[in-house]
Amino acid sequence: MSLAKVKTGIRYAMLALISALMVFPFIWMFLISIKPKNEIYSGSILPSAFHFENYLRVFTDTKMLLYLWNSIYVSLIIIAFQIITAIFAAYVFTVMRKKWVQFCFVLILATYMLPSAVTYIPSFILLSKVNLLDTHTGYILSEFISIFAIFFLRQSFMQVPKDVIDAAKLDGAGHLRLIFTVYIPYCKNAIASLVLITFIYSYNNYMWPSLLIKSEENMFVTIGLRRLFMSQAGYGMDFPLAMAACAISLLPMLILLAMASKRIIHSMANLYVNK
Amino acid sequence: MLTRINKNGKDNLWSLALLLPTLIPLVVFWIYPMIKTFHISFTDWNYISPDYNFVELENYKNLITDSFFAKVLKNTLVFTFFTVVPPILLGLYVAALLNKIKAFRHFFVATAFSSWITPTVVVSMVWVSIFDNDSGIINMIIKGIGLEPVKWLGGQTTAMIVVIIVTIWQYVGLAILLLTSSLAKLDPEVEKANALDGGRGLRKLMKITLPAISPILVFLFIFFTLNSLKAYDQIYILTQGGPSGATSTILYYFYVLAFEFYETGPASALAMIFLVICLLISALNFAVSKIMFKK
Repeated sequence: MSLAKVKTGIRYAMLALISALMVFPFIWMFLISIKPKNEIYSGSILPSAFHFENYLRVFTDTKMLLYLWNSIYVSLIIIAFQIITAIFAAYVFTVMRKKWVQFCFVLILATYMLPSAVTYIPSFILLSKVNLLDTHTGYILSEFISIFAIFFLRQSFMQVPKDVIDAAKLDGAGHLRLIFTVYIPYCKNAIASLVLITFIYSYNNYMWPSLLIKSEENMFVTIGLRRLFMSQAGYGMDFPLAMAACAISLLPMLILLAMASKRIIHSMANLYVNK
Repeated sequence: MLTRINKNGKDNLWSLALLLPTLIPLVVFWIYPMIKTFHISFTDWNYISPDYNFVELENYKNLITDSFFAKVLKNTLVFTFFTVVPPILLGLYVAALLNKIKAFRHFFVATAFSSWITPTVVVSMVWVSIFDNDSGIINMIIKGIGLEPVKWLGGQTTAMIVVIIVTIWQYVGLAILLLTSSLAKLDPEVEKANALDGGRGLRKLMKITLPAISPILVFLFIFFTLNSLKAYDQIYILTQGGPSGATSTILYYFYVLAFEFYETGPASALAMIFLVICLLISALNFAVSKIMFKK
């Protein structure tokens, strides 16, 4: 065997080891989720048999389905608002060279650098004054725009070639027609990436929604899981149930990854690199 | 002349119409709250009572002299220090390995990357189970080799170690993804020419590879630093800031002050201090990028 082959072998072995460490928590989650509750203390890592009843218990004993539905539909609404507002704003910031427009852009840029936690107390009080605490409407309103999405789209709008725009203008296209027939079709890949990333971010978001949403029927997946987890803390943790619920919570991500893993990886990579 | 003014006015109207859906939420949920937080930080308001007094710099003074605040700052620094550099180094190592192989590359990146897109809440719950005193695999292994099991989340140092491990595990996924894709984009011609020149191994790494990917390294450094300063989810699930405050970081302390004790004034002062820290890091980022990447 040549030295080069040995080297390649070692590389694959190291990668396999690191990959194993990276996926281990997911494997562990699955193993615990198919064990009966008393078996997790038995000292053996593998379950004696597959016990899928924990997954049934997630649906009968918890409100996981409701959390999933809340998370998905609220995320979809937020995506729609954030992307539409970002398309309009990015268009104005790309084509209008007016002083006040540029001032608005600098203002948004400045806000982007500040941690959102600074806004939590007044936003919380504001929503409580208009009776929108603990409602999806209140949360959606507070997540109406994404400053990141505006930057991201502006970046790709600036890459639209000038002759394409001029040709459309010669055809007599106004602002709206330019947006819908030139910019959006030209940047559809960037917009698709943004949709995926906004969904993942919104589905995973925890701190701010957990401060707003307190009643069970309004909870999102992350908040509901945490409630499920903490409510047992005193009585000896029901890890199999919790891990089964965790596994179910990952289903939307798994479906997304199965459908578009290359695209997600590609857009995530570009997202951070091209800034 | 007249048509030009008209067009100008029209453009202004259009700009305003298209920007309003962004500007209104921006003012209501970003700019107004920031100013308001600044205002509240000078009062003794407690959220419930209808009136409040101006206490000038009292909240800031109390925070700075508060020993718990000092502890929180120290925890934040320790946590940030140990969660920023290790994932970048690990990511660099894996990316270098991946760059030299052909098969399964996408598979390796995808497995590593899952850690980054999984909700931190879920990730943390799984790790609580992994580090559980009686049923967790870590203590199973420790018992297996005949040692005393460790109460991971019960000890001050070990709890911090667990929080750091979980965070590194999550960050590594992003580091691997970004570094692999930027190494793959390196110009193969430059690499070849350099190899002919006799530049190999460490010298090649220092002279060619690292400078070429330095924008990504700087980005990861700043991104992880800001992310670690803002860490909350994993701390809330894993330790709730305990035991006895050993894993409380700035943002966690802010949460406790503002939303458990309703000490709105002090919490706002803490938020303003946090804001200044984040601004300093952003400024540092800006300065470093200016110096390193000026062309």
